[in-house]
Amino acid sequence: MTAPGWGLLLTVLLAGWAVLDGAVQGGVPLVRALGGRDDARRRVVLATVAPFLLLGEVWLVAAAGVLLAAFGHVEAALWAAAYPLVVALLVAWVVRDAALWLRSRLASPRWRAGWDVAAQAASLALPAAFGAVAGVAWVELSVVGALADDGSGAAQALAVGLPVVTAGLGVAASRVHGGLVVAARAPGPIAQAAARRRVRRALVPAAALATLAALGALAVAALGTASALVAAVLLVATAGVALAARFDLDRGVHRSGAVRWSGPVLVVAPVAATAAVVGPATLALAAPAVVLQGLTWPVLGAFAAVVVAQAVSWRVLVRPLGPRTAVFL
Amino acid sequence: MTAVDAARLQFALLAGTHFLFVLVTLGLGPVVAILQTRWALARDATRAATLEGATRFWGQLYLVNYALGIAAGIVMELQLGLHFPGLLDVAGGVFGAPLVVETMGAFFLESTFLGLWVFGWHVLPRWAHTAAFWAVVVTGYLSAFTVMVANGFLRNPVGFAMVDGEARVTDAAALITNPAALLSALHVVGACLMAGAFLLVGVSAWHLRRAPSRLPGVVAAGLPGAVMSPENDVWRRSLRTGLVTGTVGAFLAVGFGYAQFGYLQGVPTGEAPVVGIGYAVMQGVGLLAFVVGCVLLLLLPGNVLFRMWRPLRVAVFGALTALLPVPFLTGLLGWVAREVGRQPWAIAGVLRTEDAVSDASAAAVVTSLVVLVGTMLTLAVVDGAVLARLARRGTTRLALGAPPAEVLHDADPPTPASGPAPGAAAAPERAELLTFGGTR
Repeated sequence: MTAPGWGLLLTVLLAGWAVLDGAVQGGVPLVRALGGRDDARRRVVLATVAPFLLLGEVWLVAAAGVLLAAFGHVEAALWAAAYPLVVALLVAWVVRDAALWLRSRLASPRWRAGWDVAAQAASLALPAAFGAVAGVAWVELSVVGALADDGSGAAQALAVGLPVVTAGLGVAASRVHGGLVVAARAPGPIAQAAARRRVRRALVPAAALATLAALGALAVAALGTASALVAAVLLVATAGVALAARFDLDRGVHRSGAVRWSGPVLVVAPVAATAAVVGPATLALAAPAVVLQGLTWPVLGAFAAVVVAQAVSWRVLVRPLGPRTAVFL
Repeated sequence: MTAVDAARLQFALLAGTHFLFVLVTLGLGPVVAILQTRWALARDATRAATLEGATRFWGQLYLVNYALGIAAGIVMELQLGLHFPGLLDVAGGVFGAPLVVETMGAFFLESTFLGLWVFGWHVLPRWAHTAAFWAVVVTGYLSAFTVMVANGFLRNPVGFAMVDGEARVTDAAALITNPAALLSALHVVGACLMAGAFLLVGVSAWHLRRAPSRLPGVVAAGLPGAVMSPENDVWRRSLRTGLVTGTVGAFLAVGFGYAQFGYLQGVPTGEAPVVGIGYAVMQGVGLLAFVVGCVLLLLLPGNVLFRMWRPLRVAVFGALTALLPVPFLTGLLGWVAREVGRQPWAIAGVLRTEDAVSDASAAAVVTSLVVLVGTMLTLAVVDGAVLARLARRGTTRLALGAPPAEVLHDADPPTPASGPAPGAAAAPERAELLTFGGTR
């Protein structure tokens, strides 16, 4: 497999993480809002996203492995530039996981309420940190980074602004996506309606941030990284989908294609846009062809096995909540 | 503190934390798999109930431990790129290979199957559910082996050539059969089995030691060993299983520990005193555990161990519980001996540690040390406390594998004896929600 193949694999893994773990990142903030003070209600909300936890976060672990093996120089450059953000990402991830796994192990109401707050805070920080790291990648792995170092005012403004916008987009996108997953899987009509109201509120900020990010991508393209044009087109289209979804929800149509797809489109768009912006620079920094070739079959074989295992698991686990649902979180 | 020291200390503390969880995951995994297999095969209803209780109890401890293990592992994965980019620059082509197989294959599958096991509990047929956990165990061990291949390359670099200052794999088979990977992995397997066994034996002994006081009539009647509640049966079975796996583990750990001295002769090693202390302690603990394990195994036929003179039994069980931390401390010491023993090299004879660290400032590395290590250690301590509480609670109120209706109400306030419950108007809606939309 050549460097573009590895780049595609990395993008697929990150997109898989964005969709699967995005459901948890966006679903957990609804736990306190929809559950109120009733612990059992909170756990029902958790149960709607619980199967996505173990099966989703490994996609980012695998992506980090591919980054390390095939794009080690990219990883070193990116981590050096985004050091505090990577540390924040790790802390948020670890706290989120610990909160979800530990909250229901003891019966004390204070113990559970405390972990719920921690999980909610971490679910805000995790997509924000990931989005910000993506924004830093836009800067460091395009012409912007070099221009900012040379003192270009426009580039310096982009270097600060882009990570902020992508962080916001990450949060808004996860809220829409997770909210839709909860709305689709929550057992009671009241909970479904409440989740949908939250989605409706998050759609306009998501569209606005996607538009801002598209403008940022246009600026990056204007400064000299032509591939950012693709990102701009993708992000504008995403903003369009988000607005169409909002329009449908306002009309009371909540089963339309725009509503159903707005979640996955919103969480995948930043990943795809990042791939478009940083693609050329990343491929140029890929490991030597001989290393990539040597790893092709082990990695593709592993990926095939994983895809089969995940497909089987999804068939078993993604079904309406019912008396045979396992509640553990 | 220099950036190099801070980066090394951060790595050591995080890896040490991760390693403690790994010991339990790998040690308890096979035990849970065996218990569940016996449950799946059991024809007698009482026996099946006992084995189900044992599977769910140890499975729940496995999960609570795993939750933090995966978190600590994620932090570890990014440590290399964050603080030791020189390692990737020089040896990314070799070192990256086992790690990408680990993340992309072994660990990915492990987590997928574990999700299937936990959340498919009431959906999968019993045999498929058991197979899912065996898949977790196998991929978990595969994962550990790939990490040992990466670590073995650092300790004893083989199967590679330097091209333009970068290492390239020339012989993948040599990389995999590297004695520093193969023998060390088997040594670690032994250590993990020991750790899982000490946990199994320690917790079971704690319950068995207290058991008689719960049935005062039997004790008062002076019938030694006549206490045989269903829960006691869980602890007896667990203790027996633990003694077997622990003795096998001690044998493996000691045997493959000595076997490693062969290749260590030819590798540049450090002179730090902790290495010698580590070797001595490991030998002592391993041999003692093996001998004691054999003696206790001899007491199993005829349940002699459970029928001994009561004060002696209480003393033995108390000692077994008190010894629970021993394999964990020894494991940490062994890991320190391995890593410190390699210094000043990151890759023995190829790359020095000081040349591998990033040029992040000392202040930045110290800050991330405080943040990451602080978070991980806090969570590890909390997780340990939860594990202890769950271990003491025993097989009552297990969340793993319980029907949802039972689990969801575990924190409900007790219903008042008379009068309507507060908020009764919301009751039908709540009931519908908590039964997942009724019984449709």
